[in-house]
Amino acid sequence: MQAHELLARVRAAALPDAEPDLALPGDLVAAGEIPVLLEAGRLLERVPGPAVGATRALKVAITGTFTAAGVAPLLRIALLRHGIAAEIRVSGFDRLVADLADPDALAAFAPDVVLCLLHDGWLVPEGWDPTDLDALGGHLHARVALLEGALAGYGGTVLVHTVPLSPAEHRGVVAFDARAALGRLWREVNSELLALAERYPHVHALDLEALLVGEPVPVRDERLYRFATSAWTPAVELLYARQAANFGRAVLGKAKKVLVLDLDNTLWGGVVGDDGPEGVKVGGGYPGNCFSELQRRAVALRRQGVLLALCSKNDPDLVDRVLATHPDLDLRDEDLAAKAVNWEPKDLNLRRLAEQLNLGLDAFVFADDSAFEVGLVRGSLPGVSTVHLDGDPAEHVRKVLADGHFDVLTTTATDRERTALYRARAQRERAVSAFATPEEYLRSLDIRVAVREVDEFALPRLVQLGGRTNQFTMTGTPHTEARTRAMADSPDHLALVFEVSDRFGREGIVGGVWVAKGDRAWVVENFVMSCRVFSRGVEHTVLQHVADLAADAGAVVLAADFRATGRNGPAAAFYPAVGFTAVGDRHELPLVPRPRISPQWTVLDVGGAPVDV
Amino acid sequence: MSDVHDGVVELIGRVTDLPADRLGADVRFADLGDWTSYTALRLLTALEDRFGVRLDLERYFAVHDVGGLVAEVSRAAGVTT
Repeated sequence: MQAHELLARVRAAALPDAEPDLALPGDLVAAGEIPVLLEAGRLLERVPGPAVGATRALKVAITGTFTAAGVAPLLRIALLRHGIAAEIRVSGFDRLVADLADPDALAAFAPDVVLCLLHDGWLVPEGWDPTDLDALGGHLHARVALLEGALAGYGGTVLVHTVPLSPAEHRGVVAFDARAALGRLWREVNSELLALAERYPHVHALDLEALLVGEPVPVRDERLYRFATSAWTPAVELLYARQAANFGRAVLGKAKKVLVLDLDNTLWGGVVGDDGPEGVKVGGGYPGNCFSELQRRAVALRRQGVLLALCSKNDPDLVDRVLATHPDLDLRDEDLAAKAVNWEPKDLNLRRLAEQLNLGLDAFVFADDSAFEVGLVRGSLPGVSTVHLDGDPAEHVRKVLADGHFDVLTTTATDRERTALYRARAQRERAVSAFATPEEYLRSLDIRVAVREVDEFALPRLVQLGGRTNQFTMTGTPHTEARTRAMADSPDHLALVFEVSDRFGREGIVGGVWVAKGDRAWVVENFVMSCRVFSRGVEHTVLQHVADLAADAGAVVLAADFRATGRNGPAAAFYPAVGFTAVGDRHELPLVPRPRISPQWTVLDVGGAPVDV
Repeated sequence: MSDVHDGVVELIGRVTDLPADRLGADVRFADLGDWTSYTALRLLTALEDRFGVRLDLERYFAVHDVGGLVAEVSRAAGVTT
């Protein structure tokens, strides 16, 4: 699509009463022309998020040591592409340390994330002496320490990044030995910046220097650096904005969760139905090794919590036989959370996979070598991200990983087990048909619910669940890590996690509750639960426990906050169904006489030793 | 009117949100709505991208009207107007 047509669509979307243009952010990203993106991003500030398909909101503060005027508009588009409407506040030039150190500077805006932009000119003193690298080293460490002090004092979520050193700094040193020493010194600086993310739970780091290795673009335009202290070219601003958008999406827990892969010419070379199991190309030399590499990368994603699924037009028995017996496969049946191997249209199969895994289609990435299938899915399921694996199979891995679809802030033990958990669930669903009534089946499961106060080990998982749960959550603005920690430490609050196990296996931590304790009433600020354990009475068992705790403490009312997000329909029905009545914008349940919420088929364990994180 | 003229006017319109018919050769940048140095830098990026040229920054900022900019871009692109 032409630049002027795209910009005309952006201008049209900004008009009052404009028709929604849900495909606009995706079309802008696909066009990718930076001057067009800069103008579109500027104009889109005036467009309400829902008009261009955004369902979530994020407040972003940008503060830096240099001028990066292009980051805000480019970030706006990259976030809209993820379904997130951003409110962006850009600080004045070189306000970074001041913003972080002054609690009032950011407080009024209350950003969800602060992006800290750094450039080498802030770290390296002008006119430094190449014969005295010790002095340079001292100065660099002092600068990083200044940044660290400011970051340590600011408690909100922050993204820092490693900094590329300008070529002029290297070339200004003539001795090979001294140049090597400078390189080592500079890596120390970047290493310290990365270590900030390990030292402070609210600080995260982006390895920009490493990302630039894959992007052969100049970091800065010397004219614009001297004229306007603009330390990044627009190409670097775009690279950063896309990464920062993935970070913002990760903060909201909206990373993609499922990678759906085709088989023929995607996971192996050739067509198994025509070439036979021994005829497909996998393993060995080129091109079989390209497909093996994609299989290994897919398994690596699975280990980090991404669910893998097959969507292939093939004979299912043949595919099962190949998965079980082919000697050269790196990806096996137990790596797959679900399979849609049949002759049905792929958009229909994706819908079925979403239903089977109980996840929204916007959590799906679909990778296929066929232009037809990719076009079909793109056209009929716009929420699904597509990766077209055309051309040389050596590029398959790069294409699947390029957009960072699955970028999350951190992974937990549950992520490593996720596929096994979903497979156990599928077994459970097959077992249900053997029982006369659902209750008889539930009784046979021996469901145990273990509730306990969150501890240091479970806290990241609780925060992650708060962020990534879309269906059974009571609010669209999850409790942050800092807030959750504060509640866990406070005698007036309660932060609970709960685990579930049954005869098919353990689910690990599947949910949590954030509670404020009052004398008369306890308030459930949020209650989240993984959709994996719906329809088993688990949430009822947990709420019974909270009600019992409140009643035992002398409270007479259990109140609960609820805010509709458009996605949390399953949660909306919960409080009214167990006897709460709406009072203002809250739900309330009298605790006298003691309410009976829990079903009879579950067993509650309180406070026990953690089973799994 | 040259191709350079049409292209330059299109890009000025893009960064200022003004229609091409409001951007005659004698229109001064200082008189355009909220013309700032950032607008000028976005226009610079867009011009260099479109015409595959690298403009001399001092000469670029010395230009005050649409006609002058067309002449400067033409000069950099080696086009006679």
